[in-house]
Amino acid sequence: MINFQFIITSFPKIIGAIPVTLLMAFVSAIIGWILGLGIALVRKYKIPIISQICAVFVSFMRGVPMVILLYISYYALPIILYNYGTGIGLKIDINLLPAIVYAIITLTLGQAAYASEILRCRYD
Amino acid sequence: MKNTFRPETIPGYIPKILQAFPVTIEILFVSLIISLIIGVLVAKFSLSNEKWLKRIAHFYIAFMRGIPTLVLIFLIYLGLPQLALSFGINLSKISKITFIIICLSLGSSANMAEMMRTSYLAVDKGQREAAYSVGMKGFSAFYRIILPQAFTIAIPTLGNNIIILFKETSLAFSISVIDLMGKARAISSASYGANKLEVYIAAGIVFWVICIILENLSKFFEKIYTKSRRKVAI
Repeated sequence: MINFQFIITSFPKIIGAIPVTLLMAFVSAIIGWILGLGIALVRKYKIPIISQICAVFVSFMRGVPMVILLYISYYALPIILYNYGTGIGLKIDINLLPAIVYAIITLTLGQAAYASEILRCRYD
Repeated sequence: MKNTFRPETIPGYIPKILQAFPVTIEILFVSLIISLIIGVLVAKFSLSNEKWLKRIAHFYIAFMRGIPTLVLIFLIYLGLPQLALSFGINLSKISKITFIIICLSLGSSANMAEMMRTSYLAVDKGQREAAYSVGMKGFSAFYRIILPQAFTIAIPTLGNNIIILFKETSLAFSISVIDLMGKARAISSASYGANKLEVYIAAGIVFWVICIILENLSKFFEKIYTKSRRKVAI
């Protein structure tokens, strides 16, 4: 049977996590829309090469489920950062970055893709 | 930490992941059909003149759109059997795929209902009045005049909804169904996670290609349908 008492007692704990969710949503929405505006402008004025790269990026972001994007960014970004760091002679400790950073980066990029499509529609 | 990323191994994982393709397609098709059926009912309710039917439909749409599919999956997969057990019903024999199909159809039906409602309302009122004026009755006016036009309006949204639904099937991995995403996870954990990145990139490519195919199919149908409609209109 459902334990209603437990539902009530676990409410405050779940509500306590609202700031984390809202932080991810707001930060990624704001940066995502700014990036999206940039992508939309690039694609509107058809700047060579960058425009094509943006088109592929938008298509990829819209075509791949968020779960897979999160996995890819969580496993790929540390490698990219580390290689970049060793390339310029720095030792970057990736473990310092909390997981939420990867989540925000992924959500931002996803938001940018969707926002650029919305803005592009408005321009035409 | 060494650089263990080997991009050249990515193509090799794609056929392995595609072995799970039939499962994903099964989930997609069955939940698409069920969600369309539920969507028709909910759209009919929300367009009816009865106040309480309208309220039920609005509540249903708001609830299903407001709750993330992942939460819905956990609620129904983990919660429902427990609840049913207290009424003496044993749900443990129902397969996980059935649970996923139920969740995805419920979640998607709200989008489908909204799509049907808006495209129904987007048809000009004069069309219905014209149908009545030539002596058509309620159902045949709907079936022969309103529905074809509403369907044409709905095609792009329907395509979008199908793509969203297809992407949501990847959440089936959360209750360890072996669909495309679940297969990727299985491959990755079979090698103790040494090739995580390559496997997930391969899964991403698979999803991406299928999404592009679905998108082009939707554009193709849109073109065909609007063309044939135009010929009739002239």
